[in-house]
Amino acid sequence: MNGRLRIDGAGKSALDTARSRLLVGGGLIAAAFLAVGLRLVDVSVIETPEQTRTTSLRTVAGPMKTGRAEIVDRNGVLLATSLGTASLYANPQKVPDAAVAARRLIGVLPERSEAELTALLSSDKTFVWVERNLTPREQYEVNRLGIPGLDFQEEDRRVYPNGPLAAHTLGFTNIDNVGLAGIEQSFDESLKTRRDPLTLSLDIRVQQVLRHELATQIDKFGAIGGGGIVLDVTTGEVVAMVSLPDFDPNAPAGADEEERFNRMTLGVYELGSVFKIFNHAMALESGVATLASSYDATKPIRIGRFTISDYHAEKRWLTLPEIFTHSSNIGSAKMALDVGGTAQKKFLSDLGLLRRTSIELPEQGAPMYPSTWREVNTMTIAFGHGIAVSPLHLATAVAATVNGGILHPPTLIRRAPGAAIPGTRVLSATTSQQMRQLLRLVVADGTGRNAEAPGYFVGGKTGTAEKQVNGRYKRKALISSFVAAFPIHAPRYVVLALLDEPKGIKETYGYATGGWTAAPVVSRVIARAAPLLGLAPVDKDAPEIINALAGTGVAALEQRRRRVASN
Amino acid sequence: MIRQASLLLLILAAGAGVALFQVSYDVSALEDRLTTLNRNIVADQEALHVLRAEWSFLNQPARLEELSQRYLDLQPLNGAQIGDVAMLPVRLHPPVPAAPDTDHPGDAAGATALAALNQDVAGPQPIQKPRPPAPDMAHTDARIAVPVDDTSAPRPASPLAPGGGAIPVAARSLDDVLADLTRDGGRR
Repeated sequence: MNGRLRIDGAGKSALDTARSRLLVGGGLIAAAFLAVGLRLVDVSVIETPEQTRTTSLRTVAGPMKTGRAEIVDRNGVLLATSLGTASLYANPQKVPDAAVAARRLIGVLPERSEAELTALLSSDKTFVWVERNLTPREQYEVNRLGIPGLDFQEEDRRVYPNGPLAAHTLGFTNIDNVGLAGIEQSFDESLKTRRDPLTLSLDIRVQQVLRHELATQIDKFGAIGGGGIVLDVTTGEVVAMVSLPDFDPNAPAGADEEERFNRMTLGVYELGSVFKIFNHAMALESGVATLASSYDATKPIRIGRFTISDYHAEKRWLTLPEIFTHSSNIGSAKMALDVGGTAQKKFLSDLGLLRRTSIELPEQGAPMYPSTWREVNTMTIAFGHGIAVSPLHLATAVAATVNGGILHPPTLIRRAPGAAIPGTRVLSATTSQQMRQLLRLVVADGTGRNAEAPGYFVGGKTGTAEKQVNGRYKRKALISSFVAAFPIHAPRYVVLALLDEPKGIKETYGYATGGWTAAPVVSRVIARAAPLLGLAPVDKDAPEIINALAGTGVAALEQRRRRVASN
Repeated sequence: MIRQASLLLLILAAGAGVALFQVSYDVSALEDRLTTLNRNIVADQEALHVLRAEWSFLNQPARLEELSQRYLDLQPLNGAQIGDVAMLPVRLHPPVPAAPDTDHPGDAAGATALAALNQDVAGPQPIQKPRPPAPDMAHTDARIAVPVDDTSAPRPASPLAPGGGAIPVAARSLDDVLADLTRDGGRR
């Protein structure tokens, strides 16, 4: 009895335990199924908007991203881009036999020496670059060698399809795509982050015309270098800028200092007579002289140990236009004295000639001028000696002189159409008009006849300066330049050409002055580039030309300019 | 009863399984296609990128200049070669409205002018039909000197035709030429 009861009790308790365990287990499983069921309903019915989540993760190919944005010219022509190439690296720890690997590698990379590669591949590092930026063929050949321990890394390589054409403006990058010069350096951060191309103000066609004509002339006159600028006078945009000799930015390592030197922005020169443009503008603007005033240029000025004399001496009283066309140093110096040193310094400072320009290049030369502005400095600066500025300074200031008197900071980035153009008034419109007449006079009937381009009414000024070597002027080492604006009745562009140490040739009767060497460049550049820039030639008998050059039609000219501007 | 229900469930389960596999395969095929397309797009973009660089490389102004000098007779544009309509000689009389063209009402004037030009260059041609009095006969015009109603006579030469004719070329303006060409060309 007792035993049975015990058995009963034991059996019952075992069944109870089993049942309760089953209940717990079943309950848990039911809860799990319920959870799964609820989640199913949740996912399939309630969460429908999130259906797209998975497909959006599988990327649909978007616009391509390169490591560095492209640079294009104002018409969208590619100037700099990044192309993906393979770079070869090695893990020397995994290269079984460095000597054998090196011997086989030089079959593909013949410019490397076997000893150098052996040393590289047997070093105790775990990562060494063997060769950067292989061509696809080289990559294939290296792959075919099947050497263990070598591998490729996809890298971007900066490519400049136009070669040396705009080398100084674009600059270049190092192998790790860091900008080291030019736009590549000044816009380094921007180029790394932006996606759309950087649009420069350059026009590659005009750039080519300028470079070709300059190179021809440098060759002809045996000059050691040269340069040129085409600047839009209404916006301050640099349309073309060339400095020769230049280099290929695709292989900047092969270029020497001389080739990398940007004469147009980094070089500062005493530019000589072209400064008479500013001297005349200053005299007219300040009111100390009018176009009818005249100065005594009969004999040279002696001041201290200096003698100021004329290159084309007339030995008589000269009117203001005559001082300009005969490029009289004596007359210019006397005009400057009349205006005074303080006013002269302020005027040149207003024209931006005493500080760095705002151009977007790291290579910028600071102007050099006397710290104490004595009387003799006033006189020499009147004709462009004793002050050294970059050619870009000159072009910018000349643009302000001819465009109606507004100084626009020069830029290499294209200004969007309709965008506000920064500018400050430095001259009155009347003075600017008179300066245009004087500039035209030089080309029509003065030292700049060689700069004429039929139909485009060039107005300009020659400049011939002796270079200072060790503090003394060298008679035979010249900086010959010509700066012009066209069409002079309503200027659109300033063209500057400069030759460094041209030598006289028989054709120019031994002269190497600006009028003989640089002016023809300006003429040819204008004749070739003006149609490209959309400027139609003008008939020389057109009323606006006659008005502009007769000196009476200021109002008519301004009216026309307004009409042109509003179109 | 239970057997029938089980059978139904089994069939349903099998059907659902087949459908599931079908959808799954479809999705995976579509995904493969998407991947391929994306890969192709990226490859094409890279190719475009390289081709753009090459295009720019091949179109270097310096290279084009050299090629043009070597293979073409072209020369740099001269300012004197550029003109505009305002530079043409002054019009001597108001333009004459073109005669209505009943055969080809919608005919483009340019096309007929071109056709006439081609024929003019080929030489003077006899007129096929008698010429109806032209509207411009009314006022004084150099053209009335030309016998227009003579069907066998050569057609009055246009300034472009060789042989000249009675009309001094310099006295005619472009409007006359165009009007002539349009009228005569449309009638042919």
